[in-house]
Order: sequence, then C-alpha cells, then structure tokens
Amino acid sequence: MANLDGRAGGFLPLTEPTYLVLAALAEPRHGYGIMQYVETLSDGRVKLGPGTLYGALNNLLRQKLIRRSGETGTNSERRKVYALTPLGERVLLLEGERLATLSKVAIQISRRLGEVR
Amino acid sequence: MNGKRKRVFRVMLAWNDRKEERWLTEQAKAGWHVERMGLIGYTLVQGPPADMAYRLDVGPAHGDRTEYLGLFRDAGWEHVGRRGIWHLFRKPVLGREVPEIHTDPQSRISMYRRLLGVSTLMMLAMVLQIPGGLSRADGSTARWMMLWLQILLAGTFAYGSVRMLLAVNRLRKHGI
Repeated sequence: MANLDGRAGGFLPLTEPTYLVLAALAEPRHGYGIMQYVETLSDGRVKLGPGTLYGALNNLLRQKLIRRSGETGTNSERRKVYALTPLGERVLLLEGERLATLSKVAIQISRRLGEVR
Repeated sequence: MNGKRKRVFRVMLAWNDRKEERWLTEQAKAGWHVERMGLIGYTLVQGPPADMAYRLDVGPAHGDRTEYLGLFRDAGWEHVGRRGIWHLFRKPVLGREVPEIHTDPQSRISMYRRLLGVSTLMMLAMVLQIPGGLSRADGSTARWMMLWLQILLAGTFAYGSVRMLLAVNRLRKHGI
C-alpha cells in the first residue's frame, strides 16, 4: 500500500478536467457518460469537449490510472467503457484529500475576509 | 438546400487552423456549407444561412478511429471530413455559448506538439536532401528547380515548426 501511495503521489496535482474524469470513473462509464456526469458534478461549470476528453482518456490509459472494461450498446453505437485501476483509485483519493484541505483553507479565508468588510 | 455547388481552392497551413475555422463559419453564415473536404479545398453547397461552429482537430495517427469519432458524435458534433490527420467537425451554435472541442489548454498544447513533431521531421528530411541536390546540380534547369523546391519546403516546415512552438508557449502562458 505504501508503495502504491508513493507512486500515486507522483501524479499530483491533477488538472481540473483530469480530476473530474477520474471522479466520474468512480463507477465504470463510457466516454459520453463521463461528459454528462462531469457537467452534472460541476453544476454545469465544467464542460468537457470531445477533443479534450479523448486526450485525457488516452493519457490516463497510458499512465495506467484507468483501464478499458468492455463495451456497451449495439453494433452501430458501440461505446467503450472505462474503469479506475487500483492506482487510479489511490490517485483520486489522494487528490481528493489535497483538495479538501485546500477548501477548508478557502472557507476560513472567505469567512475572515467577510468579517473585515 | 437548393443544391447549388461550388468548388473552392484553398491551401490550409497547419498553424492557421483557427483562421480556417473562422473562414468556414463565415461561409456558413453566407449560406455556403461544406459538402466535401478535399485535399486542397472544399466543395461547398448552398443552403439556408446558419450559425455554425466549425472545428479542426488532429485525430489519432493510427489504429481504430471509432472511439475518437464516437466521442465527437455523442457530443453533438458532425464529422464533415478528413484530410490526412486533420478532421473537420461542425456543430450548430444555439444561444450565446459557442461550442468547443478542446476545453482545456493542455489538450491543445498536445495537439500543437504533435504538429511540431511532424513539421520538424519534414524539415529535417528536406534539409538532408539539400547536399545531395547541390552535388547533382550540374546546370540542368530541372535539377536546379528540384533544389530550390527542397529549400523552399525546408523553409516552410522550419517556419511551421516555429509557429507551433509559439502556439504552445502562448497556450502555456495565457491558456486557451
């Protein structure tokens, strides 16, 4: 586990689209599912263009943070399904901890600035 | 569509991809829509004017393109055509938001890096031809023309490489 954590730490910090793609893959999804879920997760603020998503998926596959996990749909509209690898799951959790710490700071700072005003 | 067609001869240089997209969008506003993407130009067909976003992307170099094209289709982009590694897509603009295929500077940076690689390789291939061309330039016009063509192409690819480097730097500094 320590070894996995060490390797996972090397991927941090993630870019926002990369983090959201990994977060969407907490459950296996196909590309279109990821696009829709990321938009929902971020309240419509982050839209993933198909060019960006294709590049992100290829990078994550190469880094072995995600893997292909079968296909869905019929012949004409077949879609590949992606899932997290154990390493990808560690990266997602570690980045989550880092962001949670940062957002605690952000909330405190905003409150303090609010008092000053 | 009333089906009136015209063929437009147009050379697209890789570093002018955004300019090409704007030109295609203007054509659509004037009622001319891409029917076919040719090697050096387009066949346009006349129809009702439309607010259309055209986007060029560098697709996968080899292997299966189904997944790549499937993502664009799912996101509502129509695949209009292909020219080598370039793919042309379009999507109607509804409302104020212009749709984009790259929503993150990193993916545009990777695209220009790939183009930079291709351009640099082509430049080297051309430069390496020049000494041979010089030694064979025995005064016949054809040999000299070949040599000048090689130098011209080497220069074009060198210029292209510099433009790609600048594009990468600009994206790094200022984002998309």
